[in-house]
Amino acid sequence: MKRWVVGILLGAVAIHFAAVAALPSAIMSRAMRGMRLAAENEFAHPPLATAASRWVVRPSPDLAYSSLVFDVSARALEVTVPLSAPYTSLSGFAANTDNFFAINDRSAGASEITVVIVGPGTPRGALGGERVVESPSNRGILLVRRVVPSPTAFAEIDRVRRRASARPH
Amino acid sequence: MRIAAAILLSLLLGLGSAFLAIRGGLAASGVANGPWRTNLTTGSADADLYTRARVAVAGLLALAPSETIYFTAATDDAGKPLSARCDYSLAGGELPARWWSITAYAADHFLISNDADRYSLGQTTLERDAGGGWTARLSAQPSAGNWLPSGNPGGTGELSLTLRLYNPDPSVAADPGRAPLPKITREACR
Repeated sequence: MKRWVVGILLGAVAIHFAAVAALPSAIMSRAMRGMRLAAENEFAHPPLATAASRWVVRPSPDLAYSSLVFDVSARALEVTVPLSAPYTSLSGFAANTDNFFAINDRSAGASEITVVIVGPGTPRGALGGERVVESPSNRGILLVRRVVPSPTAFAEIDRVRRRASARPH
Repeated sequence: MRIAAAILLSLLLGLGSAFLAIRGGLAASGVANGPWRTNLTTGSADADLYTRARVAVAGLLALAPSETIYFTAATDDAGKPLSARCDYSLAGGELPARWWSITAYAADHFLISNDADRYSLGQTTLERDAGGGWTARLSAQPSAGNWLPSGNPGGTGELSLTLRLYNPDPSVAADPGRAPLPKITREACR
């Protein structure tokens, strides 16, 4: 009987840690499928979040998002994001949910953010003076956040965000 | 038969305890500041197993603290769970960040449906008093001035608040427990 109890408890502990460890990647995979409003390696520009929005938990209704599901296993990806006031940032999330970089309008040092995303499996060609960002995984999500300071400001910010581009490098 | 029962029991215990460990979301762990809580490893590679799982469930795609610090409150200042059955007063001043907002979420971590389609209080839209301070009403019943709906009239659901500090002052990361955050005071309940 004692052996059975010990076995059940050991099994429960193993399942507990396996479940907690696997959950972030599983949820991220689901998010990447759900966020593919555009083709892979292309930006999508969802509307402002409302109570009907279900693409990601705890969205901010004050932000105009642009999202991109990337796969840099075959080629690096060059991303250019024009800036809008009062706040813009470009951030990257690895397959395990880690936020592996964030650049905002102040740290960009230019009128737009331009980076080249590479992953562990990206063939390394000629990378010159570009701002190269290393992703811990070949697949992940890029997210642009733009503060919409008032409802009337959205139309102009929407025009700016649609100028974001991504192309193989 | 015995082996199948043992495996089933292990599964139930393992998955049940995993659920209990992460179900409180971001309001269940981290540094406390009144009713607010934050975890400065959110989004970073330093996050432990449980923080990473809680973020995935209740704050996927959260930024690292160097860019944004998130405080979550699931209770009022007295420690009672936030509910759409009660009215609350939120009061504060200018917060230590380049831009900030307070957003209300339902128990499912999505925005709360309400007829006014209002979901947040933003730094740039809040009405302030002459001294720069502000008060707001968190309630299901519509209110004049700064109002954050907790649902439609008659609503009874539990809720939580997220305070986002974009480009926070370094003092917040240095000592998040002492940052000057808004008070959440319960008023009438139905």
